[in-house]
Amino acid sequence: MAMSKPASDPRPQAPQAPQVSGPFRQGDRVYRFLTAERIAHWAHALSFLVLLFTGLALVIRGVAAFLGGEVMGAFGLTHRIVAVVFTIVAVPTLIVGARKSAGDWVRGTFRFDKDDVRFLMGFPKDFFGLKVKLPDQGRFNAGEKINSILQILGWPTMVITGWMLVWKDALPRQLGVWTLTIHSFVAMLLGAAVLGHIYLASIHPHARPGFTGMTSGWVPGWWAKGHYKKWYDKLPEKQ
Amino acid sequence: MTRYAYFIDLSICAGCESCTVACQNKNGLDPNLAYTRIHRYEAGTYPDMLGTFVVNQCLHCDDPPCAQVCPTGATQKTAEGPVVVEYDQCIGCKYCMVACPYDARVFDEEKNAARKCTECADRLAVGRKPACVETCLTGARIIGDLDDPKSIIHEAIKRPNTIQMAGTGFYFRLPPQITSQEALADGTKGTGVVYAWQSVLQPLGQLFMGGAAAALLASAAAFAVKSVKGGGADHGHE
Repeated sequence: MAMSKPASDPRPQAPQAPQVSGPFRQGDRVYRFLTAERIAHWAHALSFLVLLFTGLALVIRGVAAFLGGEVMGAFGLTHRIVAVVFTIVAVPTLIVGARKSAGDWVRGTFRFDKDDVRFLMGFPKDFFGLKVKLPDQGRFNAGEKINSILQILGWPTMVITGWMLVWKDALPRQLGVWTLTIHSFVAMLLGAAVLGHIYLASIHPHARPGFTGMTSGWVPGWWAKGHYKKWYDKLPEKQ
Repeated sequence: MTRYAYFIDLSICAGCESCTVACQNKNGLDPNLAYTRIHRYEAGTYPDMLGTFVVNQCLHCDDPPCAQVCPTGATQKTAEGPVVVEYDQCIGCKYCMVACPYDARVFDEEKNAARKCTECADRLAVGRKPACVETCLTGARIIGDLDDPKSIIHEAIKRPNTIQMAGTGFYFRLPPQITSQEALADGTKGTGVVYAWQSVLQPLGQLFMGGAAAALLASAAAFAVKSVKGGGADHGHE
C-alpha cells in the first residue's frame, strides 16, 4: 500500500528503443531489457518449461505409469526436439545482441555485498506482504542473482548431461547412473526456482509491475527506482 | 515363505547355450535378444591357457538398482526372490539398463520395453522349473527354495569353490580356471549413487518443488487477505 501508480501507464505507448548498448531512462519509464535479452529470455524460458513438463513425469513417481508408454514416448521425442532450442538459442543471442549488458549480468551476479545479504534476510517478509525496508539493489536484486546463478550453472549442466543421456546405452554404467542422477536432481532444483520466478514476475503485487520489462523492454520509472535504486540512479537519461 | 536361490555350477558348464535357446523359446524372444548369455572365459597367457565359460544374466538382486530407478514401478522385486516386470507399465526409458550392474536387461524395440529374465516366476508359481534349468544338459543349473529344508539347493550351494554373488540370491561354483571373482561382474559397484538418488536426492528435489509451490500459494493468500482487509491494491515497496 506504499504508493500508487502514476496516472500515465507507460505500457501501451512504449516507444521504439533508440540505438543504445544498454538500459536507459526516458521520462517516467526505464528501458530495462534489450531486445536480444528478451529474445534469449523467452527462448530459454519457453523451451525450459516444455522440457520441465515433459521430463517431470520421469522423476515424480506414478505419473509416468499413469500416462502410459505412448504418451511418455511422445514426451521423450518432444523433450529431445525442444532440447535443441534450449541448447543453441539463448547464449548466441546474448553474445550477438547484448554482449555488454549480458556480460555485466554474468559478472555481477556472482558478487554479493552487504546489501544483498540484508535483502535476502528481509525478503521473506516482503514475499508474504509484511512491511519491511529492503536495502537498495543494483540492476538485479539478490534473489534474482541467485536465480541467475542457478540458470548460469544449471544450463550447461542440463545441456551436457541431457545430450549424454540421449546416448545413455553407450555410457559406462557408473557414468550413466551419475548422469541420470545429476540431470534429474538439477532439473528439480531449477523447477523449484522457476515456480518462484514465475510467481514473482507475474503475480506477486510488489514484483509484477516489472513484467513488461521482459515483453516491451520498458518498466515504470517509479518501480525501477523503488526496486533497483543503485542501478536506477546511474542509468543514462535519453531524450 | 519361499525364498528362491539359484545355483550355477560353472565347473561343469559345457557352454552349449541350450539354456539361452530354451529361454528365448519360452519367452518368445527375437533371436538377437537373450536373457541368459554364455561367454567364453580364458585365463593365463599363451601358451599356458585354460578356457571355461561364464554366465551373464539377471542375478535377481536383493535390492535391485533397476527397480530403484524405474520411474513407473514396472520393475519389481517379488517376496519370493524373482525380479519381474509389468510390461504394460514399462515406458521404454531404459533407466534400468543404465542402472543394472550385470548388463542383464535387453531392449525389445518391437515392444518398446526393457525386458529381462524373471527366473520363470510363472513356472515357479505352478511348481515347474525355469526353462534354463529344465534344459541344462549337464545339470549345472539348479534352483530351489532356501526355506524348504528338503530342497536340493542346500546341497548344491555347499559344493566346494561355491561363492554367493554379493547382494543376490545367486551362487556360482567356480571352475579351477577362475581364481578370482573378477571374471564375474561385481554388482556392488556403483550402487551408492542409485541409493543416494532414490533415498535422498529424489525426495529432496520433490521437497524443494513442493516447498516452493506451498510458499507461493501462502504468499498469494497473504496478499489476497491483505487486499480484502485494506481495500486497496498494494503496488510496491519503497
